[in-house]
Amino acid sequence: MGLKQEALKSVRVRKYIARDFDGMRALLLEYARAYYPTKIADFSEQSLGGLFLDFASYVGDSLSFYLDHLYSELDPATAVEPDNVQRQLTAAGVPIIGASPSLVKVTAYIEVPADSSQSIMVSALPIIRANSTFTADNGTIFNLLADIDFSQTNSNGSLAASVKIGKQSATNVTKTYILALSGLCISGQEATETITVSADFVPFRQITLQNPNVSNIVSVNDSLGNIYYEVNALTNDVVYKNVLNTASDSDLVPEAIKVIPAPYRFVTNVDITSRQTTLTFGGGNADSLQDDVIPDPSSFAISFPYTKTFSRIPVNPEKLLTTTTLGVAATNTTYTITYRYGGGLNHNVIVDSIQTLRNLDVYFPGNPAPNIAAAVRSSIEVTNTERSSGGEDAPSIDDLKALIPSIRNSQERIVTREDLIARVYTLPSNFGRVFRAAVHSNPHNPLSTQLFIVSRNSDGQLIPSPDTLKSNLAKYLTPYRLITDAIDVLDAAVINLAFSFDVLVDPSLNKTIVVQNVLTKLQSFFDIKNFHIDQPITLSEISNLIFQIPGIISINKMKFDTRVGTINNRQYSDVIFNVEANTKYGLVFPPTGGLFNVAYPDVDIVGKVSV
Amino acid sequence: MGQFSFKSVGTTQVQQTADTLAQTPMPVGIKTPLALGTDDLLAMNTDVATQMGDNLRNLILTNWGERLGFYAFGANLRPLMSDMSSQDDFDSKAIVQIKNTVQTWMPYIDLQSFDTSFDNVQNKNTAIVHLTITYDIPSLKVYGKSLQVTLYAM
Repeated sequence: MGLKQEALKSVRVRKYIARDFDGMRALLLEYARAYYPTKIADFSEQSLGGLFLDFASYVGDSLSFYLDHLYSELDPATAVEPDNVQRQLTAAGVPIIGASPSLVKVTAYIEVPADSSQSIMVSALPIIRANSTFTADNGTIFNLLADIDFSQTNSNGSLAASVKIGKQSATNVTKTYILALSGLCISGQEATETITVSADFVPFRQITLQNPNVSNIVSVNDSLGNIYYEVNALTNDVVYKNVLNTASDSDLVPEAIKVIPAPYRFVTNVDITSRQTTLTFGGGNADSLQDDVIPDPSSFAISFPYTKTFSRIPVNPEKLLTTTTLGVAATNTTYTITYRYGGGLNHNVIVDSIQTLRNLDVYFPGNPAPNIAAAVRSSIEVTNTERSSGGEDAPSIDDLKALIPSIRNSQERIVTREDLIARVYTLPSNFGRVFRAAVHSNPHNPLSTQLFIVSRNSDGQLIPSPDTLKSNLAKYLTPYRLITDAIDVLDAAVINLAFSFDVLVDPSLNKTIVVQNVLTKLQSFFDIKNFHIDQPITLSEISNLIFQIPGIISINKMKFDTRVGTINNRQYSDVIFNVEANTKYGLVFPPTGGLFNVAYPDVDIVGKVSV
Repeated sequence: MGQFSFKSVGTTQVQQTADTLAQTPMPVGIKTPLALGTDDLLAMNTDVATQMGDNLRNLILTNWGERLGFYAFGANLRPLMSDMSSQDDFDSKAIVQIKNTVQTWMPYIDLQSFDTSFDNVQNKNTAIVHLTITYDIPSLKVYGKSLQVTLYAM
């Protein structure tokens, strides 16, 4: 019994529920009064004992605060320290960006002399080269992104530029022509930095650019002639380059995707506070391991020529990191980094505000006479016929944090059908544009998915997607595709329909006007923008639309017919479709991967009034 | 009637506790300036009145911002000392500040008198001010206690 009491006496009750200064001071005071009643009694605020209690409580309060703070910093929603927020953003894959530049289509006008046959003097047609700069009224500088080539022709051989007659003589002989052609411009300025690195090998070398709000790294070269490519991660050893499409479908798909290896590569990171961009280069040593994608460990083993036995092969693990698998870090060279920076809301300029030529780089491939070239050059004027858009101030830390949940959910891979559809529609438009896409399981191959796509031509008519577009799409989807998945890209079956109806109209109203109202309503209903692949047509929905028109008493007949081939110079698809056989429960179902289309609504929708 | 030897006569528990308490007075608070104690680690005050006097001296010697957690703790006499030579009413200001801080932090102290003496002999450039304060602690029935603190002019 005595031993038990002694044991109980030695147990000192400690409480850990206090979290702030007052709570800890109260518990400490309680503890001191309980276990040191004969040692000290004065813990008043004026006494030294009270001061010691305050010290201990202050330390506990501080530790408690930092514990709470650390937990808060683990959650992107509550993190406040910029470094931690940046780590959270990086882990979630949210790109940290600075102020965004503004984009606008600028139209360039030139006056070109006519030749002896009163045609445009082709040799005098210039190319306004990319990186020419223009200034807006508010001082914002715009850079031309791609050449404006006035000699560029369409597939039918005519000039891509719009042409108007300029000056004429008194006898109506054309002296000059006015040509107009548009090019895309981006706001901001271009800067070039050169950085010399020593012969010492530094893996994952980092270079921070001087200007903040970098919108685009234009080029990175070194003095050895190597070209460095920007990649999402240093493990990406190829990049996709857009090249001019020279195939017959170049009208629809101006550029094709080309896969090129990128042994010299870098990733970019933006500091969340300064918005300065840092380039991180690869970790491989170009001098010693240029060809070793996977190094031979035995080459790093330390040999033991006089030893018969050994327990392990000693390997220097650091040497395994100096491979080219994460890109190459060049040494003893000078990097030349060209980039574009600047942006913001004030870069969104109004119409006709970009009219000042700041730096014009003009090239005459036809080598005209110097005086003609000078005259054409001096005639160049630019303007923006639309408001520039896209300029945004740098997103705040809170803005970036708000993106984390959505970015986390949308991982950069294709898993679901929705992922695939989303990826198809995000193909950059210069690689071709998919109008509609649908995904089906392949009935013959469980590991394969059928992707039905269809495009539109310049007249808005549905056409099978060009081969170059499909090729671009295949290359574009490959990095996001799971290794075991296969995607068969197929043309959607376009079913051209014609619709006719017979209605009874209120005799007191003008029949022609009533029918015209119905036709207008139906033309709007059958607009291809309202239809998707695999979407059925609901007959009762059409009936309802017709009945919504004032004056309609009853519908006597509604009928769909298919249109195939060429009818009166109107081109239809070759898909044969039996409407009656595919009508069930008042719905007309397309075949798998099929898309209904009333190609010529003015002709293919016909109404009749019963008397 | 039995016969008992005095050797076997003990003491009651109450008496033993009383004897112990009488022999070793209960420590009340830490004595300042800090010094090593004989029974405990630090020298301790063993009566409440002395401890209060100790606290009062520390209160008067403390300047604002020196006490953790209580910025306005103390008489804050240092600013007065720093420009004492330019002040004719040092005494009256010091009295007011001491009175105010005692009323705030030790209201159970009843201040009675205040006296200053200046010592310019020890150091020609630094004046030494001796403050003598007499006070009562009515709740403890302690009257006429005095306290002297020494301040150095800067």
